[in-house]
Amino acid sequence: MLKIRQSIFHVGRMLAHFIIVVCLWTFICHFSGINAALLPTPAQVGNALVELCRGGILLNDVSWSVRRAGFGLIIGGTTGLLMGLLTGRIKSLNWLFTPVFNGFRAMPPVAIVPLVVVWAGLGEPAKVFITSWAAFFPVWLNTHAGVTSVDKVLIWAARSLGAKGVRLLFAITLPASLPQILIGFRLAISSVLICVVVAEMTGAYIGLGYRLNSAYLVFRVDRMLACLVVLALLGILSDRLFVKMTNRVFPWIRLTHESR
Amino acid sequence: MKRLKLRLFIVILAIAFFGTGYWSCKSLNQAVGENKIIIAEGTQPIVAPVYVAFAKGYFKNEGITVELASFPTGKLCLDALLGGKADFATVAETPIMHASFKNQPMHIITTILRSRENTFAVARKDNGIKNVSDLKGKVIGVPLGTNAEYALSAFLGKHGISTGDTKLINLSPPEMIGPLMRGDLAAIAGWQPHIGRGEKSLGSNAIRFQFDEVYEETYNIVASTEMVQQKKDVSVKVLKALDRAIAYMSENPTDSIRIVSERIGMENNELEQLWPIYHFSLGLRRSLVDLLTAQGEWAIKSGYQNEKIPNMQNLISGDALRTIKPEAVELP
Repeated sequence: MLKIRQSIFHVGRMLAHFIIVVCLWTFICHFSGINAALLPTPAQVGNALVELCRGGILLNDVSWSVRRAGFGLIIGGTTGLLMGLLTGRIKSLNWLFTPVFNGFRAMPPVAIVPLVVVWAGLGEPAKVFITSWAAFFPVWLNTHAGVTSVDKVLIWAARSLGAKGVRLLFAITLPASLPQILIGFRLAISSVLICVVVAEMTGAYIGLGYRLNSAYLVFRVDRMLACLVVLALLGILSDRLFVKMTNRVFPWIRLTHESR
Repeated sequence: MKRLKLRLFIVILAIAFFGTGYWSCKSLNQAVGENKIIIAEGTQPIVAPVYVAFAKGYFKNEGITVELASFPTGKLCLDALLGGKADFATVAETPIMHASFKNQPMHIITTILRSRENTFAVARKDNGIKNVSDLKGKVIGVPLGTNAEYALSAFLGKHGISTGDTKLINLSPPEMIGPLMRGDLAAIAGWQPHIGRGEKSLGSNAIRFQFDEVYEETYNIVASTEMVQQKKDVSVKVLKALDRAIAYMSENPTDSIRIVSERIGMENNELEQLWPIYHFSLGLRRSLVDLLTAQGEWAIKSGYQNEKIPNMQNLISGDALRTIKPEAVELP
């Protein structure tokens, strides 16, 4: 009974947010004096969304973007996790790789897209490389930070009981740094969604980024906003899914949507 | 006491932040509004009359202070105009056509260039491409929604092929060369100088498909409706300066090429080779309206626009040009 009431309250709150945003948006459209073609109303954006849904255009675009983002998250996230564990635990690897990664981390993905196109071409590997690049750094940094901040007392205690190497990693280091690692993955999700759009703006014929860019080129601001709405929804959904999955698999780490 | 100091600090920071923002906007609006005309230009050789007029002081001679705002494409120039950040824009006809579907407050006051050779396609022979029909099923790089896509579509259509029979990949002209050389693309369609560089990069492996039978490109000066209706004298002065520039270019091609080369950072000899394909003149021809209408129909057919095609004649304003060169205006 309590759960039903909580769900109703939650849905009601989401609806209230949606209505407030739509009302505010409509108000700005009608009273701000901004050129109507540059700021379409929610109704016009809704029509553009329906237009894009016809013929499965939007569904195809979303599925390709999600696929590219998903592969990037898996490849970049796994690599970032492994490197974070290594640089966090082994001093020489930390000394060698951390300055290099910090340098690369400062490069905006937008800047490397043309280079990747020149080197790797227009195919899927190039796009997945960009999304992997986007996922790698938040996961690496948070894993590294998590591993280096593991309480030394825990490690000494485990060592005194005979644990070392891989056993120490799985028994102490990984569980202790798990909350930080999960934060890294959570940040990586929004990062890959941003970068998949950037990657699809060049050399693509399908995907949300491609659709957004081609709408811009033909003055279809309503379509641009429709794509942005879809991206925002994807971002919210993927974050909620991640939190739900994490809370199920690691119930002792209660990730939350809201601040307490 | 600490809390009070913190609150005071936050208030001062907020005032400084918003004050700076307000002051910056005010300065920018002053720059745009008072005694200065901003021409958004697309950083291409076809903007030459504007560069020459600016370099030779023809705008100053007409009593107007001009600032050139450079953008990489004509579409961005038009965005600047429609966003109120420029008074005039140099732009090809296709972005104007797209904007016309949204009833944007703008008018074409003159064409400054016509060319049948500026936009074309280049293909790789080693992809089995010997003639147009071989483009069927091939991957073609083209900037979507632009005059290049329209011209390609018209060209393929003339040979009984639809763009649906090919796979079009969205790439800007500078981005096309690398993938073309790598072999990721069988062909590219775009405009000079990029398409020419793509052709050169392939050497003897290149085959050119000219669009001259189906498309004559125009490059135009667009002004806001406010400029056209309330400040016609400014438009007249700009056109007078451009007319003088075109006359100078005709008599002094070498110096004109030098001016353009220095302005856009293009090699002199590359420009010299391109120069003969450009036909600079002021004019408002009937064919411009026909072209805009044809492109409007293509945009609807391609799914880019979903509204009724507007009356393209309403986009043209010949009043200013008629003042200085009535014989150049074919439209009412």
